Amino acid sequence: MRFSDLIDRQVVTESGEYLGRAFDLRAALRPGRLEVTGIVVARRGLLERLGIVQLRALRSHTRVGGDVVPWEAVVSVRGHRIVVRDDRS
Amino acid sequence: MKAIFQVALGILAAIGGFVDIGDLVFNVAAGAEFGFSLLWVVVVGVVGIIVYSEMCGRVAAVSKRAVFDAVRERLGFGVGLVALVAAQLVTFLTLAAEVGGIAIVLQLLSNLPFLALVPLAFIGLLAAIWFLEFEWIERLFGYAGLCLIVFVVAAIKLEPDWGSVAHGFVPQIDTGDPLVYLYFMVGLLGAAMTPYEVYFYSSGAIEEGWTPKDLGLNRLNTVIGYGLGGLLSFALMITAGALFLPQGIQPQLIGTVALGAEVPLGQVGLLLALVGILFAVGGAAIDTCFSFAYNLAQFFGWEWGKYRGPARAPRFTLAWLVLLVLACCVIATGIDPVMLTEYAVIFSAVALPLTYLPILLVANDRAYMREYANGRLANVFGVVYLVVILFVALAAIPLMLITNMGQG
Amino acid sequence: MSRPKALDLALGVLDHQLVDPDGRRCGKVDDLELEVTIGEPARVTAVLVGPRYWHARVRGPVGRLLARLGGGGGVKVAWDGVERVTSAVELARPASELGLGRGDDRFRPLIGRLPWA
Repeated sequence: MRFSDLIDRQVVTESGEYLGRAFDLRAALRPGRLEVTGIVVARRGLLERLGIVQLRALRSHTRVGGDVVPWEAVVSVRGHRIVVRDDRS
Repeated sequence: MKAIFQVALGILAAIGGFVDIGDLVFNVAAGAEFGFSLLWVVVVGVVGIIVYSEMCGRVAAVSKRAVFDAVRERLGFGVGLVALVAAQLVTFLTLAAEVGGIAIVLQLLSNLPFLALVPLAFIGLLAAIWFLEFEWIERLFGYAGLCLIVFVVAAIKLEPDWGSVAHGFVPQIDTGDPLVYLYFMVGLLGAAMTPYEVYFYSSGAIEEGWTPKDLGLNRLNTVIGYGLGGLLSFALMITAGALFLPQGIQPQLIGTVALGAEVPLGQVGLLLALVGILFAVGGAAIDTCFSFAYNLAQFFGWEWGKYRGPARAPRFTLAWLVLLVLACCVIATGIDPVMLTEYAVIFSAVALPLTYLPILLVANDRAYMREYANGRLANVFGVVYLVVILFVALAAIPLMLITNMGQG
Repeated sequence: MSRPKALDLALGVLDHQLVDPDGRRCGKVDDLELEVTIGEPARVTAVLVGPRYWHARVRGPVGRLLARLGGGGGVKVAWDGVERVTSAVELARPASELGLGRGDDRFRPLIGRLPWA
């Protein structure tokens, strides 16, 4: 699967609650490995959608201003959405 | 001591290189149309280019990213590509206008037919780029461009009403012809903040290997270099306001621009003016040409840089070569360079936000900039100018159409 | 054990410059390949470079046209070929070994034929 496939998908819970769009993937850089630890979810306004205003990044390489859904909470990435558990922590 | 000398030389080159064909055309036209009342707009434009360039220079020195690296990283591939296409079209137009300007000045100097001078201009520019090192190009064209100081002398010699001149620095709007006035505002701002200057400055900073230690130099170059360069723009407008406005002359020709120096100062003035224009515009042409190649290479990730040598950066080299040839072909069709300049400046104004915003974003990003990210002052200026640039971008084409390119 | 560095992929990796150990610029990160396993952290397995991968970034006919204009080639660089992620993505092996920078290679002979190149 490619990054470009996952990005921009709607993120919904199992019970159908719409959380927003997958804006980016939070990852952990380890020696030799880059692991995806979460999905950065945000309700995108027009400006974000156009890519004109990325959610502001203030700390090293990560964004602020979006929710991060832990990857463990992901239930399914099939189809056009990402489904996550209701009780994501 | 030697360091100060070097810095001073660099600043001199920056001053001499400040004016390009867009500044020439718009400052003189503005002076001929509205006298001194648009001088304040030039100040706004000069401060704008200082703000933008300083940020780009800082971003380049600290994060080693040039403008189109930042554009792609911040806007992504899709939107970034739109910015690239817009920037490249505008850069191409600008280069063609500059080559046209060079050919015209050569014609005024030599009396040879125009069509023979286009290849001459091409060969001259190509030879300079190919055989001279960067530093020498900037020096040669920058110092010779300082001949434009003749317009400062001319402005003084024409004895304008200095009270009116001073009043011109106060923000105002000409209520007699507000739309045309606004059109010239847009044109002057677009000419002062021409995008290719920043692309070139930013890439040049990386070519020179700037590090955070050079941030002071960056500030000196931009503030003093461009600040004093702005004096040349004032001189052009004041000369035009003092000479052309009373006579009702609207300069449509570059030769008429040079008259601004000839009338008060005679043949010497004319010669200095023509030489100054030739080298200022020539230097601008080289910068523009490289900007095109820089943008393309930076967006797509190719190897780039004049210092790398043609063999190490083949696609980059090909890009500026092909563009130079194309620009010369366009001019050889006989299209009016002054008209081309006006279009280039107006469209530059429209394209400006697309490359300004990513730089403002990157300049604030602490992952890239560490402790050198924008402070509050830089951000106040940065955001104010973002608003100015957006305004100008939105108003440019409507004003151009409504006022029929300033004809009213 | 040192803490792993947190990194947002679109912000910190995607569209960034690739640089080989000789300092040679050899493309941008056009896309990333992920190995997705539900229940385990997904891993980035490769960096995707080349016009072939532009179609996924710009959907529709424009993307297809671009990919064709670019020559349609592309290279997959396994993630273990990445040495370091700073503001650029620094590779562990030279571009030529990884099949990168071929665009410049293709045009080098042409430039070489110019006098005084």
